[in-house]
Amino acid sequence: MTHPSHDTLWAWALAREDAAEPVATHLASCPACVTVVADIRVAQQALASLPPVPPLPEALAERVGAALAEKADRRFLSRWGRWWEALWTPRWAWPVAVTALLLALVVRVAQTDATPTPDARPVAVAPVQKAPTPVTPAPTLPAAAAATKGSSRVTARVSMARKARAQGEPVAKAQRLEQGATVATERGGSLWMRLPDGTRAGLTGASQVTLAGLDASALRLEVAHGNLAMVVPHRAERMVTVQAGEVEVKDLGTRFLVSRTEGRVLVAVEEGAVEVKTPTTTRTVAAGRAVSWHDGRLESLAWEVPSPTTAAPAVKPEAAPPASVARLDEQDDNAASDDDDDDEASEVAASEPAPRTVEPAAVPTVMTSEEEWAKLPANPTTTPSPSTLTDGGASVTGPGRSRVGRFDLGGLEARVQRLQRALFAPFTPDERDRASRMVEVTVQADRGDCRRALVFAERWLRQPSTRRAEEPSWRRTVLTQKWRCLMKQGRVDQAQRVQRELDAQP
Amino acid sequence: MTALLLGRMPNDIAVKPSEVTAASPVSDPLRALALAARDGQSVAFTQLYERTREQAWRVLYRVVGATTDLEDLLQEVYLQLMRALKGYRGDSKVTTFLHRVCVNVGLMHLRSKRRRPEDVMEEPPELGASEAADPERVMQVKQAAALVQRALSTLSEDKAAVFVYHDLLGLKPEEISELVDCPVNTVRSRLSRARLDFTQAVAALTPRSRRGLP
Repeated sequence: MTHPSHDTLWAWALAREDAAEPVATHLASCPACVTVVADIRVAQQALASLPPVPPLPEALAERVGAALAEKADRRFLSRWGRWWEALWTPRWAWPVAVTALLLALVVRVAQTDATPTPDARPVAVAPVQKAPTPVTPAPTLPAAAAATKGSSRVTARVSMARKARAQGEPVAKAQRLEQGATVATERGGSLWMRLPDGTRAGLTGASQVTLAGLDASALRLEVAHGNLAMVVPHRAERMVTVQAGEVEVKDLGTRFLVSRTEGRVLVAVEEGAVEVKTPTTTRTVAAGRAVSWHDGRLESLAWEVPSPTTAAPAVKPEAAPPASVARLDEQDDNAASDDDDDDEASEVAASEPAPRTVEPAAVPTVMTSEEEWAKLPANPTTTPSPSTLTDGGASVTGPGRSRVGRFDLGGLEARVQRLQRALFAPFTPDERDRASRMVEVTVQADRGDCRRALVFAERWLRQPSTRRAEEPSWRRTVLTQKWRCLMKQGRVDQAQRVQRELDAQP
Repeated sequence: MTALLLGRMPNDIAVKPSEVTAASPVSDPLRALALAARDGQSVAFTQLYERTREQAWRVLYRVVGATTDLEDLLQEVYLQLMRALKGYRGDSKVTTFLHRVCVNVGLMHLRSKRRRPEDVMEEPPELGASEAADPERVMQVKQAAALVQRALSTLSEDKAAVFVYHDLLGLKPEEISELVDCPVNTVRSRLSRARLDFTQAVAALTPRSRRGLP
């Protein structure tokens, strides 16, 4: 049997010739060529899906041009060694002239100083004798007042720090941080800062934040990377803004988290609401929701806020938060006294990892602190049960607190990591297959082949779902294409059923 | 830019009479610019860049897709051109060499990406998707582009160049034969082999079930 050439099959697949063609006749009895045609179709579909080439951005072209011009100039100079010629080109003439003039001035001044004037005579000057006066130190303002005198600047105070640095130096508890300070934690580190108005900012491990603006009326923090937790009591006269790359988060009086990793920013809200602003859109995010900024797209996600009755899931030892994560009770909004230091001292001491002899088996997981947190502030006088941390096997127990709420950095970090794993996980073969099939539905629908699109859509919807974060988005896409094709075919009733299914999707 | 700083107008590019070939500077200004750049005139190189950058961009974009590395890759193409101009004698077309360099630089980038862990695809800020773009559609397009690039990275340089010119840039075999400086039949035969290799590469990256096969 003679098989058609690959070129012939390629052309046939591209042209989608009539079934009566000889190639079609051959395919009816040649499974090998059917396989080849199937492969060709997939390749052609991939090529057809490519977007048109956009025009060369002017800014990009200019940047490259400037860099090339500089390199070309240097190459010219080094190649010919005629640097002296280049000196006298207009580009270099001015700098050379100015330098020469300055040198001449310096020489002139030096000569003037060295040469005494004819009229100059040494004159002896006797010091005037005065009675010694007592030296009194000039009065100084207290440090805090000095910093804020004539301005509404405030400083942040470190309330807890572990494996943390500010401006490259280790951070000490009660250290004051001025505007412009950059604080960073190492892996396994953590840090809490407090501001006079009651705002608290916490960093988990491997995080870096800059205090870009510390003013009584406006606070601005910039997240370089890692996780920043914010607890912000609402003040009408003050705005808190967190910047993470292109994403700007404006607080509306709440608790929220901003996490920045390579290529993605996550904003999750535990209580209240924030306004998230990106280069393309602005969105208000309420409690229990999160948004992820990635690839120029703002995607809405659910954010797990454990309920008081939810049993905390077991945490695998390898996923347990590092030993240095600390718990911190949230202080009353009005409390900013030094008594807090004592509370925090005992809190931090209590959170030190216990010796390995402590039994790990019977301890709750890190989520327990969230349960306690979730109970408050409805009942601020309730004393929560002792909470625990796991530390890869060892456990520590801290005293309960009768304060308003908690914000457990360890639990927060674990939840962010879970979400990131779900978002960043590489595709398994099945997931890739599922994603490709979803693309195929769209390709067929865009081509106008509704019959084929509907067949593919039905197959896709019957297949088991994956656990990827993109799965709901894929399902919406397939259902949308199914709806489109049903409408095109005039099957309105079925299209309406699909519409209802779409409306029910998250 | 550089022309103003050096006090020269863009048209003041002198070409030595001995360098003038059958294709005169008037009919092939790029050749004249390349010769002048070879002789050390940085202005000429800047002009060469400005006249060919759109072409280079199109070829690079088709090979590597939308990536933040495009700016570096475009610069790399012209740096390689700058180095190669040392031995340029004016007997071949500048565009031929430029396109070849673009495909080479693009394929090397794809191959190096294949060796590294999968990076998050980011577009240059200037190419950011508009608000009106359907997010799902954008994602589908990116996935298709990633598949094409991975398959393309498995092709040899000659086949990849012809495949990119024909099936990605839409050029005809006659135009491609001028670009790559070889006969039309050679172009057709390379294209045929390139399509076969590309199809096999895509099939290897795609599960059988997705191709509609048991």
